[in-house]
Amino acid sequence: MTHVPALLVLLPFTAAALCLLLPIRPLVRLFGLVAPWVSLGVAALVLDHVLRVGPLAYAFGDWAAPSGVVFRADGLSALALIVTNLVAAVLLPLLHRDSAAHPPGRTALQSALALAFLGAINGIALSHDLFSLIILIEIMTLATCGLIAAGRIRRSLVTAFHALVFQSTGTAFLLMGTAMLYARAGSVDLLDLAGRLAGANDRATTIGAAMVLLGLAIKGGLFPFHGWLSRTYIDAPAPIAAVVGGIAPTAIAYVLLRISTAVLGGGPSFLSANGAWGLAAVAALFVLAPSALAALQRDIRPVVALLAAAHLGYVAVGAGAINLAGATAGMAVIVAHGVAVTAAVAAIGCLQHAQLPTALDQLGTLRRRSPMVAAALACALFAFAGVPLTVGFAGRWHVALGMIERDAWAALILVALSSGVALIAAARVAQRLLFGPVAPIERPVPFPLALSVPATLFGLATVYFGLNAALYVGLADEAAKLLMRGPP
Amino acid sequence: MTLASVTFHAAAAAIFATGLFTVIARGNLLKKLLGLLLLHVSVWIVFVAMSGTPASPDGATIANPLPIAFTLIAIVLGTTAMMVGIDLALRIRASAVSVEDDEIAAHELKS
Repeated sequence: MTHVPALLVLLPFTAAALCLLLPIRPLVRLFGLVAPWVSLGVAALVLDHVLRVGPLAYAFGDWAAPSGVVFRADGLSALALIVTNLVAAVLLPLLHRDSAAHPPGRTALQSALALAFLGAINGIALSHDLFSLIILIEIMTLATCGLIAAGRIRRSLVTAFHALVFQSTGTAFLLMGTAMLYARAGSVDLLDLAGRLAGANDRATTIGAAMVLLGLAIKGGLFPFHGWLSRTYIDAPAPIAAVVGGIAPTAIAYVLLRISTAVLGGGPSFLSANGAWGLAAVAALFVLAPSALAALQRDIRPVVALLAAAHLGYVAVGAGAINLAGATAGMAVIVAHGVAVTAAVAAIGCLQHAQLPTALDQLGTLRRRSPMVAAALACALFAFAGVPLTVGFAGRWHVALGMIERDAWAALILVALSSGVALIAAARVAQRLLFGPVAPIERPVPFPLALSVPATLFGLATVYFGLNAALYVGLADEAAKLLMRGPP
Repeated sequence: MTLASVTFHAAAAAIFATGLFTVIARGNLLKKLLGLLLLHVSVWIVFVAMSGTPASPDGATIANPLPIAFTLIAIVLGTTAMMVGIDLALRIRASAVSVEDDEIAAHELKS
């Protein structure tokens, strides 16, 4: 077990390099098919080990923590690892079935990019030092842009370019923030940094922390910065959009949660400095604004993009509470996000692929075309709204608990209000899906397997995990306790 | 803070602001990329400025190798993003005959 954290990252990268060096079709296919499932299996082993024995750590070259690079797997890491790998294991092996995502002649390159993406998300979940985190996030970004640009169609090229500019700006903020925190504390190891920053409240630390969080918000596509993600949903090849939308923001949300609670929570967090009012501002910006905008849209694609951005905003709100319930909420939201976004984006992909109308008023056609995909889309949107019996509820409940515990009543009211508004947005879509007029379809295009299977599976998962919330809430609670205990 | 360190940080702040403005305000894809490069350059300057001053609490006066290593990694990150961006911009130009945002959008409408 000792080498597992390193292997989870190194093996996909090696496989990616092999795909490019030995572009033999069966070999590339085999890697593309097997690697995500092996990775999921190993992630399950890591989770099991963390639950039974305790956190895993792997120090590269036996250099111990503050001076060396260490990969650690604690509860939160294991949870993020499982969620991202679960989504990846369903989506990545199906990529090559879609000709837009895997244009002929580019199979080796696309597989290599997908494997590099897999290695990067594993690394993000395991890496415990700010600098290697940034490097792995950047690898994920570049792989994302390559995947989006797959078809070499102009629209996806422009989308890839905008994704690159947005994300690279985020990287610059992250790097600048890291530089400032490093100048203040002299360390980039997360545990070490948490200890050194405890109680620090000077201006440099505050600005550095703000820049790190802003960079993560840009890269994760939180509300005012969600433009590149919503473009991706619309203009990238649909299966790629599901991969990028379902996995990348989930991984970034994990980093946001870890850094803002475990590292900055003890010291310079301006959220803790400004207390309840800071939280209210975060809730209004990241959650209420996008939910309200989503309720006004006339097309399904911006509704999904805005509701997803709002849903991710709850990670920021939960993390801002800096208490046990808030951290638990953040983790529950991360689980819900991976599942629900994948279902929603894959369902939109089905619509676009079959050239069905995406306007809200004409969504009834989807019900006739495929009831399962329509149901999956509705379930995903209700999960974003935090309706009970869907996967979104547990996160919402714990966010509310975290607010109450902090006496942040203004934020609590805003959160409740935005849940209501998001519910209106979701109900508008569901009403059109159920009762909207059905336009006749002349030559129905079959939904591609790469999209209908993930949409259906994750649509079911939103309900399954909603009914069996104990599966991950208990784990999230344990992980949150470990996270909040801080450095030993 | 010495005069040199203040100069370095002021320059970095000015370059960061210029870069951010260019990324947001310019429609030309290559200018956007240059703005991005400026953002990254300002980070390199901050790291270099830090390596000259003793970052370690024991007050050693030799240059600290760690920020220099960070600078190298940051240069790699910035330039790879730049390379991918230039490649994408060239491909966009090949298909849309322009690197101006509004002209690409116009081309999109025509086709």
